[in-house]
Amino acid sequence: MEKESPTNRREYSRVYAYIPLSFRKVLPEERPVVRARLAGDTILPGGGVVVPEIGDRILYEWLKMLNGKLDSIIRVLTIHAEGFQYLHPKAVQISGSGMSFSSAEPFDSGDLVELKMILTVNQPTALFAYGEVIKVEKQTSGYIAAVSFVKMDDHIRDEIVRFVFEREREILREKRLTE
Amino acid sequence: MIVIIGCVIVTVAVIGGYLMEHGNLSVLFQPAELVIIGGAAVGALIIATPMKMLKSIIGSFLGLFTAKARGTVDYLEALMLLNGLFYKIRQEGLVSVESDVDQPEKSSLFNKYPKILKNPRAIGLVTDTLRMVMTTTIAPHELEALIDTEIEGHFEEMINPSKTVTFVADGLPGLGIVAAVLGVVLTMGKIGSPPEVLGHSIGAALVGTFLGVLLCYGFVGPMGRNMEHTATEEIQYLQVYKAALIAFIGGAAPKVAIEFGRRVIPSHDKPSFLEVEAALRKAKR
Repeated sequence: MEKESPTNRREYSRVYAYIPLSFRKVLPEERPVVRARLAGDTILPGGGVVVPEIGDRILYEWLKMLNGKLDSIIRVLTIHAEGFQYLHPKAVQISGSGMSFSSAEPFDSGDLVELKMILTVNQPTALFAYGEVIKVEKQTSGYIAAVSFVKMDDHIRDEIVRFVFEREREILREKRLTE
Repeated sequence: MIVIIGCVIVTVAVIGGYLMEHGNLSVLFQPAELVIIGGAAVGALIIATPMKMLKSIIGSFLGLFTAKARGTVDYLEALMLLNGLFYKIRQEGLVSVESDVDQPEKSSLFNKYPKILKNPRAIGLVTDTLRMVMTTTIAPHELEALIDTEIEGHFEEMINPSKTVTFVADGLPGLGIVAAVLGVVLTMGKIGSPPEVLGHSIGAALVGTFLGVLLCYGFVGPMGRNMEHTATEEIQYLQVYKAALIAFIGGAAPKVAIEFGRRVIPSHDKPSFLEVEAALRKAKR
């Protein structure tokens, strides 16, 4: 029988990923009002309207498809409206509890950072997350900052966890292909 | 055990009723009739059934006397195993369960639940599903369809012994008539004998019909039905795994996925929400 792994204090697994990301330090006066959110949440609260079931199955499927397409268009428009299309992909290590990324500017422990990112699982999910800097490491060029997510509701954390899970699947598939 | 109790009740009721009317037990004891009916039934079963199926019929038949019905504890164990897997995936990543999935018999997680480890269908469902998730891009709805197909296959496999036993049971009254006709043929050979001899001979022939009908409706038929219930119960058990796995792979948190599983447990065996919560807390410690 395999040995029990030592007690794992980590709550969520983490993965390496390459995601469109930008970040900025949150100003002290902004601190009380910021909260993690999905881009377009105000336009499509709760992920949009769900088509109610109707008797005609074929018509229902068509309406559902149209609804899905409209949601996607609105989502893309929102992503554009909030400037997500200008984000550059960055290598990060991400989990449901936090992430680490490279930065040219130094952060101090305790700083609050706004993270603007796009996570792509089945469709792109653009979101604003906030992280408190817990560790900063100096690199040959720049720094590696590790942040712990704060001011985040479970539904946004679930989006990140889902992304991590899908990314793990991708990594495993790649690993098995190269074996 | 319950099958044995049922058999005893049928026997006591039939023989007891017969004795209440001052029936002669020795008349009922006709080994030759039993050989004709039982032997013909076994022969018919062998003619109708391929070897693989015969083995599974024997397995199911023995299971009638040895297997215990599923209860709340079994379902709770299934939920705890799934919860353990889901939390491990969430905390340590999908890679961390690779070895558990590849060799469940060596996994410390699976070994906490030896009863489940002995259930190849449940273990296969869990490990194959996770393997699919690890090696393909399959979407949750496609995975659901795939698991449904697998469960349907299991059901067909498990229901076939029951169908065959029911087929044999259906044939028993007919075989009873065969035995009775043979008895009448024998009686015809003794037509010149005194009335007591003829009466005894005709009585013995009628025991064939009696045995055929009794074995059909009192023993073999109900056993076939029991096998059917066992198969249905096993499918319900697998549905719990399916519901929880699909929910988790679809993005639900472990606790929510477990609740999806709990909801499909039949009401008489369903652990309450609080029971599951208490078990989860205990497992966490």
